[in-house]
Amino acid sequence: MKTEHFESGTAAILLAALIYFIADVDKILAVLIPVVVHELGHVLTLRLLGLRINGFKAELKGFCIGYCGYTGALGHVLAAAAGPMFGLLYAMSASILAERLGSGWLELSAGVSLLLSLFNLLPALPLDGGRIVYTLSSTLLGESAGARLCNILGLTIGVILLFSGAWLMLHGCGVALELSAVWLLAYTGTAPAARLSGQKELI
Amino acid sequence: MQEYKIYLASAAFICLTAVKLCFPTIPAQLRQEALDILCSGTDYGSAIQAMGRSLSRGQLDSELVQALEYIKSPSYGQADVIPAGDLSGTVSAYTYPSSKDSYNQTLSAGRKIVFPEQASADNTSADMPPLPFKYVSPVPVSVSSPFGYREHPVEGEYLFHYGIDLAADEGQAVLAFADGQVSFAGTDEGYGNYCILSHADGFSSLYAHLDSLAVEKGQELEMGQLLGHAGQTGNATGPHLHFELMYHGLYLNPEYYL
Repeated sequence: MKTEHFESGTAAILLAALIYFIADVDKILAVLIPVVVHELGHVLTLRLLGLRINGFKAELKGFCIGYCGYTGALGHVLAAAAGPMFGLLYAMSASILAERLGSGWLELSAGVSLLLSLFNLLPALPLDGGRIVYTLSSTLLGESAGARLCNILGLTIGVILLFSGAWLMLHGCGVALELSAVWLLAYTGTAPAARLSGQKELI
Repeated sequence: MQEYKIYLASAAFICLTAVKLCFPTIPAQLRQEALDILCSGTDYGSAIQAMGRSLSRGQLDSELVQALEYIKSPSYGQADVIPAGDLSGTVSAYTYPSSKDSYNQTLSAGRKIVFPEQASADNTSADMPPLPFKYVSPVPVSVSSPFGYREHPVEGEYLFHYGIDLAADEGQAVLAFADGQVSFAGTDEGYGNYCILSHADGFSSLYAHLDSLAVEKGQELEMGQLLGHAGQTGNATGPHLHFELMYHGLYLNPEYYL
């Protein structure tokens, strides 16, 4: 029997409600569609690899896709990479289409998808880039060495983001990057779940 | 998903949609505040949009380059001030350095603006030094013309506005901004009937286009005390209060304080 289900943290619901209340619907869609495309990339690849998806979770940490089944390291890497790849593909096609149609909304959506994909490719857990590095390094160096490497990478990138964010903040550019740095530092330590019931994520 | 969360989510959705439809200004205000906190003066939306545009062209969009340069040196003060001379066509690169509200307002490209040789009034400041005394608005706040460069309603030229215009009815009471002494009360061709109050620590305020003055030079006033009635004497197109705030001869933007 299929046991796909959707779960959501209370904080995530409240945050979504706040965004829904404050933002314009077209802006929300310009962000939501790249997110859906990104997750679709993960889901389709997992299905193609013959893995079973047993649930989605929306948390402050991002979207998690729970899956189980056996696949090699390459499969995990492919599934993790598929999200950003789909995102980049979407960004490219939306941008080309935007030029044809002269649509500012598509340009915005393409830009969001580009940023989202690049951010997700950062080699820091729990981002997709971090999952790729984790899978490869733990296969090559062993589980604990891989985890240690990823912790170091995550902290390094988090701190770099923190400083760049602070610099931007001091230059009057707002707290957007600083917030993403705090987010990354808050979640980068969270060890990835066991390989077989591994979770794929993020926005 | 647990049941209470479904209820929570749907209740939030229904309530928020209702509020959004009935009071569309509330989300707009909140949005502005959230954007101020998240992005300050930087327009991330346009930058991201420019990024999306660059993608299909295979080269960085000129707007994106501008945005990056802006992030590199986003000084609000002198760097943003449009230099003197004829600048038609290059104007969109600059932000409008006048009142707080128009910081993000980009002048439309192609609009020809000739600034006076004396570029941006040197004797003005975009800073907001804290006032060492209590103060009130001389009339209820409704800014009809902000501080900074503007097309002069009478002269028709682009000139620096050293104060703000507050909408006021003919004969409306004008109150003292803060405790102080009347250092000038008289008439001028441009200002009409006007008076200047000297406050503590080198601050002073000016009230112009008054219909009548209720004070004399040397008189001590308390904050909120009547000093005259609004009118349209001098160089004015309608009744309003022209209000200036100075600090040791430097013109401040009064809008920051009202």
